[in-house]
Amino acid sequence: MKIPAVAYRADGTRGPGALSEVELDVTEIRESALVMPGLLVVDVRGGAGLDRRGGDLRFKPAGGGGPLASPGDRREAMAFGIVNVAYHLRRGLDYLAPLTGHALPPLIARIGAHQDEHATWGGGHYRLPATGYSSLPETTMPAVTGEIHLGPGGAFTQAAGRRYFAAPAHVVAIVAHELGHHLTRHTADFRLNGQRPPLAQTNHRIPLDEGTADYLAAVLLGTPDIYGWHRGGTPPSAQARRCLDGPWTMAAFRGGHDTDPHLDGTVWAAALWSAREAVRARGAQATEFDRLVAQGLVRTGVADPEMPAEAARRRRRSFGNALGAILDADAVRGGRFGEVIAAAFARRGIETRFSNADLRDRCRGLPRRAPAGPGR
Amino acid sequence: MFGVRPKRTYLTRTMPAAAAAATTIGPHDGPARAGDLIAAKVERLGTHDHVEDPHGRRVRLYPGDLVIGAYGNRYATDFYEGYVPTGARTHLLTAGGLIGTVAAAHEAHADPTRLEVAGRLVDERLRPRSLEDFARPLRPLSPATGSPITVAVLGTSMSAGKTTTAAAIVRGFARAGFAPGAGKVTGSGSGKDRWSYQDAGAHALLDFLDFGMPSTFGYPLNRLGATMTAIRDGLASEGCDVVVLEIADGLLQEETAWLARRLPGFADAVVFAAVDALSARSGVALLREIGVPIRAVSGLVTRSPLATREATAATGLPVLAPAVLAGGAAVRLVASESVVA
Repeated sequence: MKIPAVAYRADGTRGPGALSEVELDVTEIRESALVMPGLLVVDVRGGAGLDRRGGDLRFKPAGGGGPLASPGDRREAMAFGIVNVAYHLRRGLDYLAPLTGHALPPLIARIGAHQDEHATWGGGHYRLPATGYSSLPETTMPAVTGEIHLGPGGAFTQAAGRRYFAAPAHVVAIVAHELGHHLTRHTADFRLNGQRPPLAQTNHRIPLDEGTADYLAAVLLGTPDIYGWHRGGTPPSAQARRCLDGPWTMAAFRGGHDTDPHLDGTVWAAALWSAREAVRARGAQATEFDRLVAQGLVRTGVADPEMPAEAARRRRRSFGNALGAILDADAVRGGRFGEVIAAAFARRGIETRFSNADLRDRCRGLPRRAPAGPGR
Repeated sequence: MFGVRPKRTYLTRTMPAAAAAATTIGPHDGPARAGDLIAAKVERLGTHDHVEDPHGRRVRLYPGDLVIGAYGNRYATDFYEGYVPTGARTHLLTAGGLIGTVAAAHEAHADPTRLEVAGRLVDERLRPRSLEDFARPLRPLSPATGSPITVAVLGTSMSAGKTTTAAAIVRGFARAGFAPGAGKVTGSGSGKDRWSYQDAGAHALLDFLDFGMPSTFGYPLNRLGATMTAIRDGLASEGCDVVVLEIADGLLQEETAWLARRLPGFADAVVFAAVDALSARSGVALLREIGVPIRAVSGLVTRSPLATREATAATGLPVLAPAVLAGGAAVRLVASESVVA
């Protein structure tokens, strides 16, 4: 049933978005959950009172709620958060399905997750069932197809000149980024989770995964400065801001197990964004490039039964191979954009014939390590 | 005359450079008053072998150095009870440059650094200068400036962890996206405390020194009350949306007790820094008696898990270590519902 709702819509400004009336196709409204086809959004803290308005989901953001808000405003903000998350996940899933050629598996989003362990967690993560978790352990096993967990929030930011509690459910960038991990898990499957026991997958992410998730956030927000609102205190010139139109090339790539994959992923995300802009500059729709990216992810995820797992993982973490998959996807569609895409990636120091480390060293002007590429 | 430049102490922080340059050392005549700016020669080094300069840097002292400080009284149970002197031979009461005569000393600091007053700081017209000359006016808060969230920190005594607690609260609010201001309402001027707040992320800082007092012991109570309000309002007018106020000494100190009675209706939340569980219990009971909105206990007691448990049971309040306050619990002190530890 189509239900009137209110959510933030991306408006290209450095804020939460424009408060807008939307419609949600909802199967069931529960007290603190919305059930939609292939999607469940629930606030695990309970008490949102979604069902108190007789099928009307037009709640107010109430300044994001938070500890300083009145109980009434907190409840209103919680209800708004559920609706906001549902709207953006639905929108993202609906955008992605035709691009990948299939609907992604069912998705669960849990808001207010891990409150007991981290009462002020202001971020989100995408969780798969695993035998262990590096932080914020799960008390109940996540769904095999993956879950988005959004923290209760702990920090304030500004919106329209007023203090706003940056509850992750109100921050579209976080929601969209985590949706990106659902996309990559069920397409490129960078860590070969599809080949692991369903309850023993890994949640470790690689730069390509994080960069692709940031790219999807930029696509859905319509701006490269995806974290400009709630992380506005981080200068745009800092890599940690993860602004996709920053100057990041493979020279900024660090690599290695001790490096934050979000930061290294910024190079990939920025390359994707500049390629998208280059394709648009040719008069094409941005969606055409997004389709190539999605198809590239699908191609990356096609298993080679002959290839040992370690070799397959190595192959899937290569920026050059990921670019190759996008170019291949373009080639089977007539190769309209291959040249412009390759040029855009080359400006970021990404080419198809080299490993990540070689690309980095080339970009930094260091001697090449090996003549051979990583093998595609 | 003395061979080395005079060493300006932290208490001269509020004196503009131009005013400082225009001063000379004049005769020491007339009655001595708290706040008078004084030049004194180090006769013999004792407990204080350094002073803080106007920025708070530790500056080593040598016998024969000339220090520029201010007369004042000190009330410090772990250090000195001291008063504005009546003669030329006196003591250095604090590293911040408070000059006065020790009346009683903690046995760990029985040997104060001895000073001989060389004269008063005077301007071009030989008028004695005082910290009062550089005090901020006590302006009422503009109606356009909203009243900030106000958190006060009190404690059982000196060295109960009040500054650490207040700095942690400042940190917690700064991390949560607020612009916290830090204010020290009473005590003796100290660059160390100021830097603690600065390092914690304070957006702006004010203390009694900004309002013309080198230390607060002995000043009229009404002036201290007005200063507490002025610090809060001054920080709000500088853009702070949260103000964290530290009130020095313990609840049994007369001025602290008087100010504590003014906190209901003034502070949104009070955190009590205690050294142990028993003092936490008695301090919280005293504050509850006078209707203070006490929301949590912190301070030295939190260093011991056992003592923390005792204090929690004895007070019924969350007992929050500074790291917990800095990590996010600070904001919950002023939550519309009870504190979540």
